[in-house]
Amino acid sequence: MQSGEGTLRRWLPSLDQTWCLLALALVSAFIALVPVAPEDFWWHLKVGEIVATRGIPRANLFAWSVPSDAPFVYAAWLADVAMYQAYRLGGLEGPIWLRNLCGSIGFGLVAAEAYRRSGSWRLAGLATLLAGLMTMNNLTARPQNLVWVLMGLFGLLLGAYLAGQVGHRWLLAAIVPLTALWVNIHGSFILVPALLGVAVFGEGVRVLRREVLVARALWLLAALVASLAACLLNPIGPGIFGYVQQILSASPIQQLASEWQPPSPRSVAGFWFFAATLLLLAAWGIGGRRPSLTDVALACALLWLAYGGGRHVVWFGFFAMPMLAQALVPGRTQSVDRSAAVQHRGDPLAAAIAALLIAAMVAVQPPLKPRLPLPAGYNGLFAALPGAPQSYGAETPAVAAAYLREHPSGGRLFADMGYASYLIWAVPSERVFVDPRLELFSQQQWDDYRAIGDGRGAALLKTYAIERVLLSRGKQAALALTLAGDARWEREFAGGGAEIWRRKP
Amino acid sequence: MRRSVTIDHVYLAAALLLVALRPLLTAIPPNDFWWHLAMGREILATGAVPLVDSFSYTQTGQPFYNQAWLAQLLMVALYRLGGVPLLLVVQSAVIALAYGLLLRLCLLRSERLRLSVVLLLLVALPLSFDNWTIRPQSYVFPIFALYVTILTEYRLGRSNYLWALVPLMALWVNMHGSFVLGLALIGLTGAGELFKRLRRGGAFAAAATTHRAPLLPLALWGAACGLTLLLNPRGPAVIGYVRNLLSTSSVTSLVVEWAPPTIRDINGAIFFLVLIGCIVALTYARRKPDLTDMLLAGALLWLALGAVRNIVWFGFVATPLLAVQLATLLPPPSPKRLAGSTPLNLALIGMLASLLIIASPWVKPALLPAPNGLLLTEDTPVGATAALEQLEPRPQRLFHPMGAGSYLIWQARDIPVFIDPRIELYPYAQWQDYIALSSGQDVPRLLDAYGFDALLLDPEEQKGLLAAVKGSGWRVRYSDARAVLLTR
Repeated sequence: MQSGEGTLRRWLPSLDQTWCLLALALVSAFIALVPVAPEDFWWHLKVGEIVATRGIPRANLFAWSVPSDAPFVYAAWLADVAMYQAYRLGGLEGPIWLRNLCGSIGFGLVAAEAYRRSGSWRLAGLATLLAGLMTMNNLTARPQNLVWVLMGLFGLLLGAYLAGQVGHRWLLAAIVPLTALWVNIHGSFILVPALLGVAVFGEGVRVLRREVLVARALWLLAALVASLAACLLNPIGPGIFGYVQQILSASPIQQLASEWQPPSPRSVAGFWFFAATLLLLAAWGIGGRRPSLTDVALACALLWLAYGGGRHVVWFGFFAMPMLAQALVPGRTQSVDRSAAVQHRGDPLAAAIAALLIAAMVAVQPPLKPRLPLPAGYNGLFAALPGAPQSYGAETPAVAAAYLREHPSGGRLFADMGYASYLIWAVPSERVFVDPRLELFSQQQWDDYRAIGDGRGAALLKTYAIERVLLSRGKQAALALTLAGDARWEREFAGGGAEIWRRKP
Repeated sequence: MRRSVTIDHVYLAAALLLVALRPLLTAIPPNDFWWHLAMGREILATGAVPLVDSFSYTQTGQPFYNQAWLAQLLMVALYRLGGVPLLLVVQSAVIALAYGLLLRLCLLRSERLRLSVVLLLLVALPLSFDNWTIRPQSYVFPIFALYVTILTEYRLGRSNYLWALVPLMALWVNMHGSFVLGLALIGLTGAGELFKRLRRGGAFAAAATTHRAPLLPLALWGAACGLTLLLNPRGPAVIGYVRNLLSTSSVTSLVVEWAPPTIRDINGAIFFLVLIGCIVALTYARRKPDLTDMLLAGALLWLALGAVRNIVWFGFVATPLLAVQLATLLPPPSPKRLAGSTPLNLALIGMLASLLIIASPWVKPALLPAPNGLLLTEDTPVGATAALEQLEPRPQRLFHPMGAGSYLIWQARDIPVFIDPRIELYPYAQWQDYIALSSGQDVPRLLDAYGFDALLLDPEEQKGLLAAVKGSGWRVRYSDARAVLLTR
């Protein structure tokens, strides 16, 4: 008979588990500390409101530079609704909670998959930390980050199936709702059939090499077909594939959006991405645990994707870092020795540390975070939004938007792209020149936008009959200088890092 | 006994001849060629390495560190001896020497000739051939290859020519800023060998050879190489030059070859494909890689990830590593493999050699179409510069493409340039103005701000500016497919 103390110890975490929890707490806390940039948040929140009240829109609604009925696909409508419902539940702090929760669960699933593969909580912690470090420039609140949870689940499901730990019934039963949900949340849903296709290829080769049974590859193929069918469960049906193709080939997106540019080791996140890639290369080359062909194919496919655009690095981290944990396990066998896991020894000290870590994770959530003794400069990273202190980035033009609400002009407004996103939410009566829906606008418009913003396209202000300019002092200082030197323009407002200029009557 | 020529000889000849062919078929772009030549001419004329700029009107008198003086002297000496054709032939020989050394190293390590040739042609060449233009960097490729060879042979116990690293470093430090890589190669080799000794029986046991290279001579000759760095006209300041070059924002943000590789261009895509190939090869090889090989490849991979121009160095260390690892996946060579007939093999080698004759700079202009048949790329403003030299008075504030600036420095000595490929010489703001003006932005203000009296424009690359100035007080004085000359 077990003693009471023994039963208690079984439920307490071990010291090894606290290492993993430490990594997860660091990543979760960092996510919670990062300000939300305006670009991909506010306009999504507005769309969420529109979907919740009027249904899914299908045209441009916010910009004056393209016809109001110009078609636009709001593929992330379900994420927008989720963010809006979070807002209704918790005010402006609601979407922050949602982002932080998705981050904690998503990276928690990375830890779970890394543990499943390695049988080591410490290595699972390392995998989680590396996945978080390479994602640290991609932590704002937006639809992409809501699918962290789905990506984590998908990695866990596929990994367990390939390892023979989950049967094909579970795979098929889970893949359909997962894909159906994903396709309505974010364009990255295409990764489900794409990665299943890569896995089918890998397992197919393994079948030919007599490493696995043919049935496993066939059921994987069935899952691929099921996921493709589930992709159709969205408001525009098969048109969603055309949407993805458009996003991947739209020149403004590929050229203008910094997160679509290839990662560089000169950035902190890029540094960790490349460092982790090298570590994986070394671990697979030197380690005693040789990965399966399917794992190598999956990692290489996601590596190629990540090389193409910094925003894809997160997917590589979610899939490949658990593989790294597996490769770092000492020993030569394919299977993981779980004896250590079976002999779980709870530790009161570990429990105390875990409680502290969990408390820390809670403490950095709104509305507790502003009460923490964080460095004085930290508060400067945020805009002073009523009801949401230390939540939204300083580049959110809250003060300027309030001024515009009180002083509407009716004329054409030129605004910084991120500012435009906020105006869509905060001053819906103002139409904007361009906004972060990059694919809605032509390359020429974006060239003009950049020329005006760089202070080199003053004539374009006249060409577009722009009457008012809302500029960011930080990003568009040259435009401010140009307007200051132009007698036809006068500054009517300055505050919160923004300036509003108007053409003299 | 009569020696036979086998298919292996054909492989060997094909590798070297194809390597030699590529530089011969590449027309010389103006960017990093003419201004180096002009510097060499200046050094010859004055007997001293210039310390300040004297070629531009925007930065004249400003300090300029001319580190590659020895390579520049070599270039101008070759030019005086045989003109552009001789420079092309020497370039071909230099590249063939460097990659011949690499092939020898692969062969030495893997003992598989055909695998080594295939890797040279399919990995090392695609990784580097866009970096083979005539300039000081390519003159040090053989030095880099010799460094890798000498260090590898030393640690494998095949030979001991560590002393040769010192005179090679003396050349390197006066030819190109990449000399710091020589010290890095020595340091990484020492670190790898030291770590292997500390971890015998550990993760690298399978790869560890029985030979233990003495580390003291390596450390001593490495220190000697470090001291040899001082054997240059500016002594220890050369280190500051390299550091400044790497940290100058105009260099790292404006020059494509200093930007990180991307899969969006063909060279970057090749690099990342090779990287993925390395992952697969290392994963499935039947033997663990050597730690020193991995350290060298890892360090130079990191360098390559940071800048396109560094990919070439990664190729030099990754190819032997791949050769060693892939050799473990191949069956042992059969003693009965096909050798072919000597006359046929000789004929094949002869055919390949005849390609070299066709591609030689004295023959190819008559036989090959552009661009391979050209000696200079079409954006070299030969005709426009001749027209410029006819103008009276000569323009003193000319705006022109960066590459044209290099040619003007050489050809039109009395016309100072606005900007040229000495990226670090010009302030970042001037580069921004150059880019803006070239794309036709803010034209009236910038034309007035710099007071240009003539414009030499590339009608393809600077069509925005050309459209903006046409019919606005500027008169076309010369025009061809790649250059338009206008004066006020």
